[in-house]
Amino acid sequence: MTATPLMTVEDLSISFRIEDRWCRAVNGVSFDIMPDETLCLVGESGCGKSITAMSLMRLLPGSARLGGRIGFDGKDILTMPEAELQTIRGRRIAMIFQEPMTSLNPVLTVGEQIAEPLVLHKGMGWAEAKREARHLLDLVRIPDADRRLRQYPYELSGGMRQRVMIAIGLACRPEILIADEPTTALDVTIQAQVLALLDEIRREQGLSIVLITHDLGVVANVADRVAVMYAGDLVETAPAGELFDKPSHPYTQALLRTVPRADAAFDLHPIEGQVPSIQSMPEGCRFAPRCGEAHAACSSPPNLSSGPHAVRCWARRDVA
Amino acid sequence: MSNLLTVENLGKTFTSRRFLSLRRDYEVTALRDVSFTVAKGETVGVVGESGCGKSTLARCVLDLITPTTGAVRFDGTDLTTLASAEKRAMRGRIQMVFQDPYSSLNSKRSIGRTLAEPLYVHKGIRYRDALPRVREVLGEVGMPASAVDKYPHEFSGGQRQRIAIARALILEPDLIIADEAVSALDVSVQAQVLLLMRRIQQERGLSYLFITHDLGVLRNFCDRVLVMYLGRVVESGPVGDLLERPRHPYTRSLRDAAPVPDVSKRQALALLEGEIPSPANPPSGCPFHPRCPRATAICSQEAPVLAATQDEGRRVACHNPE
Ligand SMILES: Nc1ncnc2c1ncn2[C@@H]1O[C@H](COP(=O)(O)OP(=O)(O)OP(=O)(O)O)[C@@H](O)[C@H]1O
Ligand SMILES: Nc1ncnc2c1ncn2[C@@H]1O[C@H](COP(=O)(O)OP(=O)(O)O)[C@@H](O)[C@H]1O
Ligand code: SF4
Ligand code: SF4
Ligand SMILES: [Mg+2]
Ligand SMILES: [Mg+2]
Repeated sequence: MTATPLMTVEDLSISFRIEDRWCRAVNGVSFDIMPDETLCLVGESGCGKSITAMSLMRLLPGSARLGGRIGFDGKDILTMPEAELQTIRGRRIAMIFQEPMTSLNPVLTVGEQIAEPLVLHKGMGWAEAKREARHLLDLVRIPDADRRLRQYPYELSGGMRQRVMIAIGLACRPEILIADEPTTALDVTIQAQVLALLDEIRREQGLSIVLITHDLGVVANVADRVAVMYAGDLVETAPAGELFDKPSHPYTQALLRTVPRADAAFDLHPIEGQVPSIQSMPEGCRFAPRCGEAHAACSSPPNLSSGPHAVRCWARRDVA
Repeated sequence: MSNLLTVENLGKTFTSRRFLSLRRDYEVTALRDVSFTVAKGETVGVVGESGCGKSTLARCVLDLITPTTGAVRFDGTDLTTLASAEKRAMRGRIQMVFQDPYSSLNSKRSIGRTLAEPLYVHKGIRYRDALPRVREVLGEVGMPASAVDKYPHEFSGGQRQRIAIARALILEPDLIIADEAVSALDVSVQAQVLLLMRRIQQERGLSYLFITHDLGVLRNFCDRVLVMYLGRVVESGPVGDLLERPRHPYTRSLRDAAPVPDVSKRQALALLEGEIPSPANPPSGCPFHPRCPRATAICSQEAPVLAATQDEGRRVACHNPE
């Protein structure tokens, strides 16, 4: 199957100005987002997943400098005028976050919050927007929608709030939904419900989902493709089955070994040390200080191999 | 094996006044008839969905809140009947580590002062005399002695959690209650902290009451487990056996909802319908019946009691166990 990507991220770099110095947080990352797929971005905290995701909508603070190209619909998101970006952001590409309580407005009812983007972006009247809001609550399987529309966020449970966030994200029928740790704050039972919901909606609506998570269990359950990030580098990318069957990058392998599994008793194998800060990135391979296979060649940065299963490591030049 | 902690029929009901309202005060029963033991050197896990009463249980054992019914016996002494001076002495032997290493450490106080404080409060030891012990305990959790003069913001989440563990260790407690102590950490740091806690346990022979919602952590860190639902223990037993052969339908639901990093085991995660009901308005009979796939007529009428099964060390509260 060779479909055309919906979005093409090429050599994306993100730097922040810290104490008069530009520090590279994301270091030349490339990937495609295919139609109807779930792409998972994984890695430890601080590896650059969230800022990579934000940059897909050019939603980064003014202190950030972006490089590379993000191709969407024949245009480059990174260089298009702000006015044109407004026609895409929240409409054709939408985003939901980990903490529904902080991203929902506490003084607006659920109905008002869902209707608002419809009025703003789609030019609907309030009455029509309210009807559509009701429909969206059905879509995210919130029972008793009429009553819920009149409630405030504090009256809802965490799982309900996350469903409302998803409804708001879907309001304008986006082509890409970016979900940054959408289930991290939820109980496993509610997490399973929300993941199933996202997957159903993806299939029904023909949506691409970029799911950011540090939970490899979640990834194994929902991803079509996976991109593993370490310290601002994309270190391995592969179809999900391939990645879990034949994890290849030493970081991916180490990360998989650290996960305590509910279905088996294993020894715990931490990765010693920690993700470097963006102010003190190692020269050469950024994983080298924590890598058991580091050798002389690793003092210069490896590049990403080509092909559907790509790896950035000097010791893995032979992975197809 | 002697029991370090014995909890008997513990119950806690919170009563809230409704001001300016004609409706009566409302009551939330956060714990109901909870009984269990923790042996010396043992790690007992507590799992369940948010709001099921795990933290309330921890706070009762720590004597931070007064239970409505029941008894907490620590090393043979009933904590609920002790005079306050004796309580304080006992309290040093039970310590707590919380989820959030950001808010549980005082940001304006140096690490050295934070660690020395319990020594002053419980033993009247002054800062300068406490320092050798502070440095020693920092070493024990894998932190450099130079951390003494630093402040919490200078450390990562994992390091702050190590410091919180050091603070819990400084009085050489017999029991540490860990409430989601590794939940906010990345997997690799989580594994580092868990191994640290296990090593300390082996060296000191202390016990953990380990609250978590992560079944992977539970499986790989705990010896026994209590599964809680709406303030009650619905199943308990050795962790491996219980997760492999759950007998309570809720335990099965929890286990089947936990994703494992293995694509070959990919199937729709089994879905438990609905959410945990409000403890202010619990269902009749078995509290799990509105969500239970095995429920029968009796389940909405009569609450099942937690009873021993033929399996060694396993208890279950269900009319139709698997
Ligand atoms: N001081 C209080 N006053 C009234 N209700 C309370 C109080 N403390 C706890 N509760 C209620 O008791 C129940 C159990 O709360 P608890 O904090 O023990 O849950 P938990 O299992 O620790 O949940 P989580 O996983 O979210 O930490 C909840 O319904 C909670 O709202
Ligand atoms: N506004 C900012 N200013 C400076 N550094 C930032 C900013 N936002 C993020 N960073 C840094 O960029 C790196 C990647 O952050 P992030 O994308 O949030 O990681 P992740 O989502 O993988 O946990 C981190 O080192 C973080 O501290
Ligand atoms: S390039 Fe070298 S240091 Fe980097 S991951 Fe590969 S073997 Fe390890
Ligand atoms: S007692 Fe009935 S409702 Fe409760 S868990 Fe057992 S079968 Fe389900
Ligand atoms: Mg993030
Ligand atoms: Mg709690």
